[in-house]
Amino acid sequence: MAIILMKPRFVKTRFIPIFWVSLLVSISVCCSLFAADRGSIQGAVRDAKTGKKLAGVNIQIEGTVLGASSDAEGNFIIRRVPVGTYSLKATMIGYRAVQVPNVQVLPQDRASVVIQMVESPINFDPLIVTADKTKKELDLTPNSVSVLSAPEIRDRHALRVDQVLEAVPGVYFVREQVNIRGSTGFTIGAANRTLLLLDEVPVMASDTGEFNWDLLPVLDIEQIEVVKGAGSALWGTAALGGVINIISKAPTEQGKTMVRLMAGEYDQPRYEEWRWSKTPLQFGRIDVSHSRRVGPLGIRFSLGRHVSTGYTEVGDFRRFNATGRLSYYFRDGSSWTLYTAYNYNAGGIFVGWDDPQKPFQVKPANRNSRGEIKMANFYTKYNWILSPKAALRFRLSYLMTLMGNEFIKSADFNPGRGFGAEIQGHWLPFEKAEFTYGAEFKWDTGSTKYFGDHQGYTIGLYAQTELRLRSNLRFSPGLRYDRYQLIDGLAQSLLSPRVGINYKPFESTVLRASAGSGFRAATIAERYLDFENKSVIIEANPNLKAESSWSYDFGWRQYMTPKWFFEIGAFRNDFDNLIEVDLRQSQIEFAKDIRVAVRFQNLLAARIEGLELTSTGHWWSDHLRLQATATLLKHRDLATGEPLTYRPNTIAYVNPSIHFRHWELHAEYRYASRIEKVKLFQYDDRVPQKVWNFRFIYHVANLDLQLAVNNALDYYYTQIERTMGEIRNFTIGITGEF
Amino acid sequence: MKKYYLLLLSIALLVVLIIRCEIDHGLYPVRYTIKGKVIFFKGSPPANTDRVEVFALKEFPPKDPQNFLYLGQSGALNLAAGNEVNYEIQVSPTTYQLIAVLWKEKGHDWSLTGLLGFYTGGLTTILPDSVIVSRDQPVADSVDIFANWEVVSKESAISGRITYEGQWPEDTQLLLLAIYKAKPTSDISYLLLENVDYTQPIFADSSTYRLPVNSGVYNYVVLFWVGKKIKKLTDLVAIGVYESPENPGSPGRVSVSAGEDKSNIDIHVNFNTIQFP
Repeated sequence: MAIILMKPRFVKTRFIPIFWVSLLVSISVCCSLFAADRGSIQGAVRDAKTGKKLAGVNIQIEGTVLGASSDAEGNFIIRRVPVGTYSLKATMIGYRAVQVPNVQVLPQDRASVVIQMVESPINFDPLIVTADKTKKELDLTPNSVSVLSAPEIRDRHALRVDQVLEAVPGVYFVREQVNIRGSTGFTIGAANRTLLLLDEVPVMASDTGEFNWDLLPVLDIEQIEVVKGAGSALWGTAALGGVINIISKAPTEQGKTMVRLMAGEYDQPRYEEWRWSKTPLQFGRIDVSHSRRVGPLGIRFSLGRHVSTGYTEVGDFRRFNATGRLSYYFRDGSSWTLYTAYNYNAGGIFVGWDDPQKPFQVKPANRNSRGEIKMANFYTKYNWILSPKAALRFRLSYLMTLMGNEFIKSADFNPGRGFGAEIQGHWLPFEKAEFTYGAEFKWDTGSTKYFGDHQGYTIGLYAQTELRLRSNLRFSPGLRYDRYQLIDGLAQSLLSPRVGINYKPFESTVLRASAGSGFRAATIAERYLDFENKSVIIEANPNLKAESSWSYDFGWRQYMTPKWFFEIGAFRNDFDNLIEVDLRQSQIEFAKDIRVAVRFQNLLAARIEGLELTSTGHWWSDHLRLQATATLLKHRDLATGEPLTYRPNTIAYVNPSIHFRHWELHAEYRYASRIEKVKLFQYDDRVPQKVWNFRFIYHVANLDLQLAVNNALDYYYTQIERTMGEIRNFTIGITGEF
Repeated sequence: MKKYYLLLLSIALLVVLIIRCEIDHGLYPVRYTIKGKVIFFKGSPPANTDRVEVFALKEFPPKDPQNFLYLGQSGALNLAAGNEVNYEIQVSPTTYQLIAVLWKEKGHDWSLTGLLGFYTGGLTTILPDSVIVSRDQPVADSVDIFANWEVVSKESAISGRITYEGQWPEDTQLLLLAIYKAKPTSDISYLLLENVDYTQPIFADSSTYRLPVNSGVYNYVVLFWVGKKIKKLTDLVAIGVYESPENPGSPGRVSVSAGEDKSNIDIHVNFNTIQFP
């Protein structure tokens, strides 16, 4: 539901008091709960088999916001716990979650527990934060969520985050543009209908909405959570098709240094007439990260460099990234984090082949086509435990992007800047109710000679509650109000409601259903870009409205054994005012003298619906493992009945693997049916995408050695016009942990 | 150890299976081509000729003759090579409605008004024939085209506006705008079309035309309708003529002197009053 309001000043003044009133109410309600008598819980965590002390285990008192992490000696203490009887939950990646019931806390006393944890290569029910903006087991959420844990990420030995995400059910990449269940298609990076978060902080360029997958090295990722369907009820703009939250690793209890070296070479194209380079085409990546804790202070930093000649002409790049994180852990469980990341990316721009007989080469005029992107990200967060039943989180963030290329010199571009601030509360007023609420402010600026100086802000207020109607039935309604205001431009107000149900009729069965709306305000670039070069004219359209969607999702997860589940999901997304590129010139094919005129427009009412089937299992004492997923999509423009552009009808991913003693062998198959419709060159040959990757991993001491063949069967395909997908390549890698 | 051997055996079987299977490698080099000869049978190149090329058009007639969709062009034909010039166009695999020889005037953009000739599929018809290029048939050979220089060597022109009333027949394929000195009296006269515009858009509310002609008196400016099931030229249906201002309902007389651009020679078509075969 979208409401258009045209009185920004009135709204601006009304919201500031609401924000402060909500803050004060939170604090006063919470502080009243401090009056109770208190004790503490202390304990130790051990490996059940070896007796080894386990550091970094997350221990949470269920039904409260209190918790702690075990230190280097495996010990933990949770202070200021009100008198009562509690249940503890201990979780750590690589171990099965443990519940410790009936822990009694007496006044001024210290309850002691010893927790034994059993190692397990899988955890199908991890804690996630993205679905409800608060930590919750995956099986208790009403949304369709997929999670990749650190071991799964490590096993993929990927060079970049986007390569990791390809394993997620329903996720499909068109070049570097992510699609959750076909939401985005391909928009030349000008818009993404998926909200990308880093530690719950949006990291999309403030002027163009683009992602930079190099911002965070794979080595630094703790977990990736993918929430499918509209998520604007909690996350606001851009969460139209879903939300991807990349969670970075926290500082470790013990000093730890990780080094990863990877190198590889592209094979020559299979067909003699396609070969274009006599020199070997190679790539390499090095990452180093260090993490340690000094008393209450945790530090983590990483450096990485990624270089490649590319597998096409002007496909080369040089990338550099650096990250740093500082965390301070207070005795009452509160914590403060400061995170910063910088990425530099310079390389060629392959603008599409000129001659189908030379698909890895550009036309001579484009051989100097090069670009440069610099991106800096900063955020600071403070988690304040007000009481056992209430917590507040404050966040400030800043994201800067600077782009330039051969047509657009860096000097012509001022950086796109995005400032963000958020306050979020989590309150457990009753035993069977949780309440999450907050206020968010975002200020975006973009300034170039191609679209002038533009600024806009978004104010969002949100609230969601979870009611436990029965022990196995949860009901979660939520609502968010957003106001988007361009300074001296369009203003728009949007309401995003959402409702969800989670039901566990049996211990091994999870049923979930949700319905919610999402929206995405047009980026500054989409509205104001007014640009002309040799082959394209882009016209500004300042009156672009926000695009919106309603999404409906149903899922059934069935555990066949503790180590094998299958999941069936059905979904439907109805989009309205979808912003698409409108081609204003049809004489485009093979045209040498004629330019294409394009403009972003609110064009379509569209529908994407489908089925998603997933199964993951470990058998034969964990020696044989399988992850398999298939998503069947039906997508169409409701006005014309035609399919939407750059979307396949079927995507599938299968990853069988064998794990034996010190070695692992992975086979990986990615399939996407032939893209039915493209914007340009629609009569060019197109084929389905069928890619096999094989990986061999050998674990010795603290080292992982890896050999991989990607696109092993030498398959050639295009995802966008006249741009060949990655060809066969061989990789060798080593990862060490010291 | 048993498990270990079983595992190795499984892997070996998998490898054998993959090797034995016919492996699909996706895209492969295919040169989709249309080739043939352009035969210039009448006239000679005018002095203001910039280039002549063969174009492969996906859709014909286009919505706008100045803005037509083409998927390939031959490159400049070697006009010094004589009256028969070989051409080759690299294209995408699809069906082409028109393979056309276009003339480009110096200082002007490509336009279908410079249509010197097109592929008809043989000598028995004056209408365009489609050409199919596919993975099974990547090369369309002997797509020969007769081209007439006189089409663009005219000294004068007649122009006007065509307006339509009523519902277009669904099986409309093409329109021919023809200008005759006298109304043809026999079927064979249709073959004598010299001043013809094939590019009028169909299913439009109105359109404009400008047809080069030589100076003289023209007594029949006519718009023919061509259906999708046309078998012979007499199936052409005259759907509108330029009417005499003095005697509405009768064909009008147009006198054009050398170098003159005669305008306002308008035609109105009322589909409601026409009987289609």
